[in-house]
Amino acid sequence: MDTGAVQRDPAEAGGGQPPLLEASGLKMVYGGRTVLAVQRLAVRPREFIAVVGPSGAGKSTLLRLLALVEKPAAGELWLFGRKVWGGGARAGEKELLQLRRRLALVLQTPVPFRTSVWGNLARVLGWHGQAPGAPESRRRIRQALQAVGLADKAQQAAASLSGGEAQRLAVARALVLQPQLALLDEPTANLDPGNVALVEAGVRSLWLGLGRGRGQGLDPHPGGEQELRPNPCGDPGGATVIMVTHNLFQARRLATRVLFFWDGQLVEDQPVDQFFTAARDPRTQAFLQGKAVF
Amino acid sequence: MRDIVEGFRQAWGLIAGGDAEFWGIVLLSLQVSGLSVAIGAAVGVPAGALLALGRFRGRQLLLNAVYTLMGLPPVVAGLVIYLLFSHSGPLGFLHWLFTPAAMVVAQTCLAAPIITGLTAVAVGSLDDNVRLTALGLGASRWQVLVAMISEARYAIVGALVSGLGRAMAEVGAVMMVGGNIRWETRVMTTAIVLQTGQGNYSMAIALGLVLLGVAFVLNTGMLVLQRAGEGVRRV
Repeated sequence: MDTGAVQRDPAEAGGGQPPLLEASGLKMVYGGRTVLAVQRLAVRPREFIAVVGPSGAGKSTLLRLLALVEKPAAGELWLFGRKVWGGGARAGEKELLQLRRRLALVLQTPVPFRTSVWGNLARVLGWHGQAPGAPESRRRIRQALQAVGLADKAQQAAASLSGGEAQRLAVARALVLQPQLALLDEPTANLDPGNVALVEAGVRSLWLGLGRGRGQGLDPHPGGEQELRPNPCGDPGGATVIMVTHNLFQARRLATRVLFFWDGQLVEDQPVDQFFTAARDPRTQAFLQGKAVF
Repeated sequence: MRDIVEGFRQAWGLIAGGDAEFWGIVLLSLQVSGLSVAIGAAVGVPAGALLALGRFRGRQLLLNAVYTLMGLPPVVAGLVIYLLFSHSGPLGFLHWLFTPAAMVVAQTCLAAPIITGLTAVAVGSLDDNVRLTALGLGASRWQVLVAMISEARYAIVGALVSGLGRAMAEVGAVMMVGGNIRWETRVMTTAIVLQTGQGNYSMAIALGLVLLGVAFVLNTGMLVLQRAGEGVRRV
């Protein structure tokens, strides 16, 4: 199988910084079928990458591999400057855990833990060895809940949240960890516009740093793309974001770079503006024009 | 019919009158069954979760063995424990035969597979996204295990209640390894068998009523616990 046709090496958004993530020849096989084959991918710190493509293109598989919750069939992966897989090497369980604790994965289907909204955030902080009752933990939980508009539901049972609220809670759980890498799998799928705006506020907070995203996210009429760019001062609290989405408007609104997957292959990798105005691969062009037949 | 009515009347007298032998039997039953379920839970809940989540060689065989042991006939368990603790058995040096300790072992052997098997089913039937979510948010393998047990806790409470029911209702094994010795190893079920055989219905009925009452109270308590668990934690 052709291992993908990455057309260019973008990553200008990172401004020459060393890659946060590098993958080459990454391949995933389910039941004898290759569902993902990425020839090369490099992600630099503070990029906001939208991953788009038809269903079954391998987008979610990519996120699970990058989140280190699944192991690739082949290929090499470097994360945070450390080799995770490849060349016969495999990170040990302890090292994998250390690496996973620097990232956060948000699944398409939110799974609220059976405790309160507050308890959900406290639990994930506890996994990272932070006392949930400590003043700093409480401050972060409050900020994360505020960022997604759930502060008034802190004491509510998470099981009683609506679908949109549950997805906001899932984003808040990632947010409270202040990860270096946030991997989001269609966090706004099937949500109403109000919840989309609130989830996006949380996602922006992930990218820009806790406490920075709410104002922008709640604005239903963003004033322009300039305000959506990362803090030029380089907020150290902000994360690199890789988000799978089917919403091209959302990709354009939020991302600095777009990856387009087709049949498990990365066929287009462009800064956001070029992606929508100067896509090179005919499959991307067909997809953007709504002419792609899946 | 008159015997039954009279039996209930006398039974009430035993319950309300604070009969020492009667309440001694009740207390020993609760101690033996409670300890058996506690040990069964300490072993069975983590073992069940590991069997549900683990990916190791022989896992399916172990699961099959646990499911088989869930239907272990009490007299078979009693026979095995008897042979183990008998004077010439490998554990005979402990001198546990015909003591409450052997009864605890027997009841644990009956309750633990039920707790283990039902825990494995409860944890295994959770959405795999629970595991992926925990891993993706930085949980270690053990933290994932604890999180999965926590998410399945209401079903696991059901497993504990089933285990307790099995232990308290059991008669064959405790009769064999406990000997139904008055004041020492006589529990509610063995006492009911004995008293009924002797035509002493009042004691049998009184013990039967207490057995039912205890089961009712425990099950209600578990349900209340489950409901309370659905509530929220203080912030």
